[in-house]
Amino acid sequence: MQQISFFKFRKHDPAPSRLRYKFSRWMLSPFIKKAVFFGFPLFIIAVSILIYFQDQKNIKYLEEVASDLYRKVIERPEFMLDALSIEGASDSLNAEIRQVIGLNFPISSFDLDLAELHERVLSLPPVKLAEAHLRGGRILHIKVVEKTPALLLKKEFGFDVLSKHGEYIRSISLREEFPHLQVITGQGAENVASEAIAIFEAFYKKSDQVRGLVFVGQRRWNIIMKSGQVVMLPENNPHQAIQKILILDKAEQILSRQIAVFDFRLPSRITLRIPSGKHGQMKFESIGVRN
Amino acid sequence: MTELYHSQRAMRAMRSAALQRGVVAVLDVGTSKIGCLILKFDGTEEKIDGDGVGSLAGQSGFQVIGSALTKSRGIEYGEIVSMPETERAIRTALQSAQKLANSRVDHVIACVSGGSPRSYGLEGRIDIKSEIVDDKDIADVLGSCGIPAYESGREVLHAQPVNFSLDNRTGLADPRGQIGKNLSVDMHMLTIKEKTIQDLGYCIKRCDLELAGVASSSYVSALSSLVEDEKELGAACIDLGGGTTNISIFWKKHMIFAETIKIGGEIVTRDISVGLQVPSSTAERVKTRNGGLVATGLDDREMIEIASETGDWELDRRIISRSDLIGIMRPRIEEILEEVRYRLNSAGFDDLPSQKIILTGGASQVPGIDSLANKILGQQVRLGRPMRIHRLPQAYSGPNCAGLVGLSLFAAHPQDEWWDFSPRSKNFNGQSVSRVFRWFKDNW
Repeated sequence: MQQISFFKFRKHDPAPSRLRYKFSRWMLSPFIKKAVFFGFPLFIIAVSILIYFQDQKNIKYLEEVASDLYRKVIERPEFMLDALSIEGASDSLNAEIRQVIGLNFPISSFDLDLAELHERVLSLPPVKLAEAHLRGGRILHIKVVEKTPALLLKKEFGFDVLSKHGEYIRSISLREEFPHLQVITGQGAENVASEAIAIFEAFYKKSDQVRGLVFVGQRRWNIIMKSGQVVMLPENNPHQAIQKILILDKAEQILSRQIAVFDFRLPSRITLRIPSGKHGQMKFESIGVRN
Repeated sequence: MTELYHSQRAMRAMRSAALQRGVVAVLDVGTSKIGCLILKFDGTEEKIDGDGVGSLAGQSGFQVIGSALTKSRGIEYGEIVSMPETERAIRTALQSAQKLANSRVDHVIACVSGGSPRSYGLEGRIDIKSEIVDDKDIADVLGSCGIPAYESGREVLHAQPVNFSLDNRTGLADPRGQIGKNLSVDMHMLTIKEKTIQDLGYCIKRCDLELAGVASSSYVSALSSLVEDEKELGAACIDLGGGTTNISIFWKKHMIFAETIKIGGEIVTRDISVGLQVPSSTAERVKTRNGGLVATGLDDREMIEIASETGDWELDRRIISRSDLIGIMRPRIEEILEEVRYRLNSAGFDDLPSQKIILTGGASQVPGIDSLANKILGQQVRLGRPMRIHRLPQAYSGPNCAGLVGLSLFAAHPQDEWWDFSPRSKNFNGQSVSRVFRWFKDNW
């Protein structure tokens, strides 16, 4: 029942042409199939992304968008810190900590590097121990333990406050800021601060008469009395010498005599020196101390 | 003969390569239609138990991923008469099946229905040297079969060992590992015209495909339609196709006879076309929609309009009764069935213990064919439908696709044939190997 059309004499052949058949088989071969369904779309996407990123403007725009988004998230009120609380610091240290931390509140907790903050606080000389943590209620809490001042080290200008281990705490210009602390001086004296403290403790009975300690030649101590007298202690076992002075003082009031230098450097041969200048005056050059 | 042996071996190698790749097409080039299924082997094959039957009768392990059925062109009586036309039809089927499967297929297993197949029974016998039968002995006994003098221009399509006998025992399916002295084999050999298979191979090659196996259409439709018991006890499968009617006889699970009759459903259509003076497409439609074989009183009153487009109103607007149609169809079908009866008789079908006859193929769908076949072929006739295989579309599950389904089963589990056994190597036997070993031992 073939329909014969006037214009189309040949009936349509349902069979694919050889070329078409080969092409369809080629398209179905595994590599081409994968290439068409995955490779080609991926290629298009990759190329369009590359083209987009060729333009610096687009990169900048994307960066802005990304950082905006980031800030929006981290600056949510849940993550914000409003205040800094410092525990265990004196007023001056408090101010120093605030300065060294250098944060402008409110700040997001994401922008905070607690470890680095901790390092920074610890790097302050007066701080012995420090803790930094975030506390509920949007507060950055810093807890410090200060070093206790034990000695004053006289420098060319002003004084250094030292802890009992000789650690530097701060510099002061006036002795009056720490009237109760004893003064030491001499090159390398800060390294043997604990010896000085021991000497002060042994000499505590006369502590109101002591002006300070001088570390001589980086090996031994001189006690300078307020009266200008000098007690030269030996390098080894200065405590025995101190005991001797105290005993002598108790028995003979030796310290209140007109003696310029008590030379205990050789324990077996104690030497006392009479002042050479005017009455009651010391010649400091003779004892190697410049005040 | 050796050339064919090698080409069949090459096809077997191709088949295993295709299975390794996982996709293979089966192609049934029939007279009225060309069917193509694309099978995917996913390696989940079930272990076959001792009976040789898995839980799904060997249908597991593969599924149909693409299918196509198209009208056949350029084929008459199962043989290609116009190569370009047939090539186009194969191309049509394959392209749509590939499109459905969404995968390319390179290997094809095809079946041939024409080519006047001829069956031979072969016998071979050897003495076994090593007492225990092994693969080499099987190859030897298969090689010892006396090849009958078939005409030149024919090729061996199947050569299947059917029965092994060891000394006095017979009926052995697999004598390997058994102890005996005399091994003999019965082999069934099927030859067809060389030209038929060459034409088909050429058409498939023109479609850029490799032929990975050929089977006889009679054999494969029986594979899908017969159940195990019928194959075991003896049965004949009659595939009533479009151009040819294929007969195969099974006994003891093996095909022992195959034959093709060159009368089929298209002759019936031609009869109707001639008898009613209508175009063959109309005749085909009338046959499939209103056809029948047993006329009753009701059929006299059932009128069929026959519309045609000749332009002559009187001729175009005719009405016939169904009885008229039955009157045209019945004699032809009777003739086919009688021819089948004759062929079965001459093949010695009567001697089988069970004489079950299974009708399948497109023409077995005519209403009333079972009662007609009962009268001609005997009482043990049933209508067969192909087995189900995984994901086979509904449209392919009818008896007209028995060959296609059987071909799928054949692709999945081919029967061992003669060329599956490699013969003993003559010039490089064990002795020379031991001599080489001794030489190495002495000199190193």
